[in-house]
Amino acid sequence: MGGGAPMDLIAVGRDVLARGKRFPGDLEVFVEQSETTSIKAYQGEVESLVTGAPRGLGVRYVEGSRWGYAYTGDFSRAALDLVVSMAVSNTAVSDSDEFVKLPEAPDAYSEVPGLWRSALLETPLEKKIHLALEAERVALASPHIETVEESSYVDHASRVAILSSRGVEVYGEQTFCYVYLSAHARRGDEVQTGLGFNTGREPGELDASAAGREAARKAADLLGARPCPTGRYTVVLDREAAAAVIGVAAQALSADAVQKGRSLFAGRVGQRIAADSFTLVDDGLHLDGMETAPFDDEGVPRGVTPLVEKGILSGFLHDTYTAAREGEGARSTGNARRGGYRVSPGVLPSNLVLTQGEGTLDELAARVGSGVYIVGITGLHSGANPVTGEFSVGAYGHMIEGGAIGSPVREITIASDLVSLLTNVSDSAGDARWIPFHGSVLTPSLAIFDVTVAGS
Amino acid sequence: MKESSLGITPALADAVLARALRHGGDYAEIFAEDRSSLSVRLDDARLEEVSSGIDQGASIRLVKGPTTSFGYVDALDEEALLRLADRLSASVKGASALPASVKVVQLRPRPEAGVRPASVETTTKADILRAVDAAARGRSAEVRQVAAGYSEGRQRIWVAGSRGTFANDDRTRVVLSVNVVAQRGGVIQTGHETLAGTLGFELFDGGAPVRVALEATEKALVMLDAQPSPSGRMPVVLANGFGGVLFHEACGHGLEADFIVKKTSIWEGRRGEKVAESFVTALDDGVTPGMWGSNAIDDEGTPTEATVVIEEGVLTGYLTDILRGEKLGLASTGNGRRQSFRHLPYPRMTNTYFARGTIVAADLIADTPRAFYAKSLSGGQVDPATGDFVFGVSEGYLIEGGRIGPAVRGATLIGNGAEVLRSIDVIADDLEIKAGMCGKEGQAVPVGTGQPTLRIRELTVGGTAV
Repeated sequence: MGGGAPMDLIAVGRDVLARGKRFPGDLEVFVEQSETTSIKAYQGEVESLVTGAPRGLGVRYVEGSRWGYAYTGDFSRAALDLVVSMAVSNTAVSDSDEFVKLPEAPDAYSEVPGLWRSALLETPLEKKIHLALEAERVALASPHIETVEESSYVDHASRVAILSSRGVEVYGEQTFCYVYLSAHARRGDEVQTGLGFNTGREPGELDASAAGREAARKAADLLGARPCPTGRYTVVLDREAAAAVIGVAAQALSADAVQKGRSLFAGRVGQRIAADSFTLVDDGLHLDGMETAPFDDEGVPRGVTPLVEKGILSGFLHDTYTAAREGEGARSTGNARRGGYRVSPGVLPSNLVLTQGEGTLDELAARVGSGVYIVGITGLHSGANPVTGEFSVGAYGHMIEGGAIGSPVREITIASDLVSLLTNVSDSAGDARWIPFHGSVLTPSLAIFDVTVAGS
Repeated sequence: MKESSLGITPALADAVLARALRHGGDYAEIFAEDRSSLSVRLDDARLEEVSSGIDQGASIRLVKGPTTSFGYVDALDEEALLRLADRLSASVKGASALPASVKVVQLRPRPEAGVRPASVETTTKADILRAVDAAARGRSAEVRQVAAGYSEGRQRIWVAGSRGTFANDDRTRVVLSVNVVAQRGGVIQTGHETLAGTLGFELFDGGAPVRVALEATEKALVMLDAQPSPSGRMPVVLANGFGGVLFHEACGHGLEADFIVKKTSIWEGRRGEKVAESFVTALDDGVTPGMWGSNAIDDEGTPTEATVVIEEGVLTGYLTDILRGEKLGLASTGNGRRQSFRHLPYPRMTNTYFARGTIVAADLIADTPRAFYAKSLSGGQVDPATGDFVFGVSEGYLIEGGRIGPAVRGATLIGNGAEVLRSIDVIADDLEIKAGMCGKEGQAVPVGTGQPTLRIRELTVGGTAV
């Protein structure tokens, strides 16, 4: 892989492993460093410009089937000694668990081309600033748009090394950038908000104008919105809303949740949990995915894992621990993930890919006939429970009447339970888009019947 | 680590600020941080993992006209800070702006820190979690799973601003959280409870962890009997404690001065207006020691205070930091907060709550013919520009004929901040404040949210039953 690392992460990792040699157990070190730029534009000026190169490393130590974890953002020799000794002493209190172990070095990793684009770091700051300003300018030039609260350009060039005393030694790097803005439309006293975004691996892939138009259109379209009557409706979830539902369901597809009694899908492999048309795959190698990488956060090769095939539950996501605990031929699916160097890995999806249907959104609305088209969901974190399956969230969007998307609605809730939501999926459009907000999800707009909508 | 190697000195601050402003600028600031943490996790009846760590670093902010330039280094060393100051100053073109020489801000005396968590053996912390697990499982055979987490953190900060302030703070926080899963037949329910404060290990004295475990367990067990929640518009009684999410979402975010400056808050330009009944008073209190959202100073070095934002129904104040306060012609209220040295400060809430009323909560309920009773909330979200908010109910009931009736599950409440504030018709006297984490601008900061039990004339309840 290309790109000259400003700091040799493998060397740092080897240094840490060497410091751990005097202890009898196995040791793993995860080292990361990224370079990041974040620009916010406001009223044609740069409001803030943030640059940094955050770094850190985390150490997992295993002895006598017990874990210990420690991390540091300080890479001095004293700190590296300290982090190793903390990880070792942290094993003293934990309970032993026969399935606790570090992964062995794999035979090979898949090649995943194109994750690193040196153009991201080579692009002059002025061009990045221009993207944030351009998104704002286009939104402000659109009908009804009064303000753009913030228009941002953000990029990361991330580097990771994972090494262990079991022979894992792997290095990866990737770039990622996006523009994001929130526009406000006003008519009289009424204000409505719309979000627009665009993602890529280098600034040249970003279409700031498209993001600006998207935010402006979404805000203006909602002007005049009111609650609709309470009742049961067929809802059409736009891709962002569909990604939210899939993201919640996926939490119950982790083997960790299943093994610990926190999944409503426990014991249901081979059974129907969703409609015929519903096929969901975790694809850690998809070239367009934002969570794509050759290896997961404990150095295990990423893979492609079928989760739901034509409505039938086919399996769960595993890391090394849950696979060992499962026994009988179970293997890590390469889904160990961590939210940075401060935390040890857990099971999480990589890229979730839902099979799409046919036609445009308008054609889907025509097939549905009447219902509510949901553009956005609010309160997902507090209103969706992947353990109990309860699902009740705030929403806004448009009525579907006579097969067409019509008047805007807001201040409504949509409520059901996860199993009903999945089994009542009746149709989908052929408009799949990558959504970066609830993990990384590729999903079309989804029609789901018999959902309770509370409004006026 | 030697104490003397920590932080930054006023002399270093003077040197770095002068370098940052050598090509001009309106304001420069250094924020240095040293943080250590320990967490212990129990799940599935096993003490799974102990984790500990350290982070150290500093950031510099340089403000000129409309633009803030910000950078950080993952170290507290003089050379790195001077290089960062040079890099930021290179983005500004002009004559040197001389910073004032910094002076240490004298703070009012704070109570001594109690029992330093780091001085307590890790085995004691593990034993607390084991006691939590045993208490929850001992309460009922329907308890199927318990996850409990303990964490402690010590954050020392040093802030120096070019207008002459130099302040430091030493913050210790501890948290215990308990999640219980209960099952009866095919019905699964969860219960969650947290105990947290900006203080030492004494928070766990007197059997507090077991009480928290039993509270979480009760929530899960009660909800096993719950019926599907109704949906539609109806009166709502919000219980004390976490009901305070109402003020946080419906009103508090919109009072944060960044939204006011950009005119993207429904509360912009409305100071002095009557926004609620005259028995409604609300505060943001960052100063009372021990509370989860309290600090001696904010993350810009301003001493914290208790800000009355609604006084007897009249909107009286906004929550400001240095920059946004200046744009509004207001002093900072000590609400400039950030997640870490890697983040820019924003106006953020500390501990927000409605002040207590005069009537007893039981009388309020007895006086309510029919309502949705939200005993515990799981969090929420708001769009400050429209005031539209939503929050999830983790424990709900119906009130029928002045009595708390059957439990109901799966409800979300949705409404508009300005409307809901006007429709509060009674406030009881049982003020309680709970701990939570608030997310904004990708940054999480500890906040307290609280209120006494109160009643709202009408709100939309989103359940599955029609």
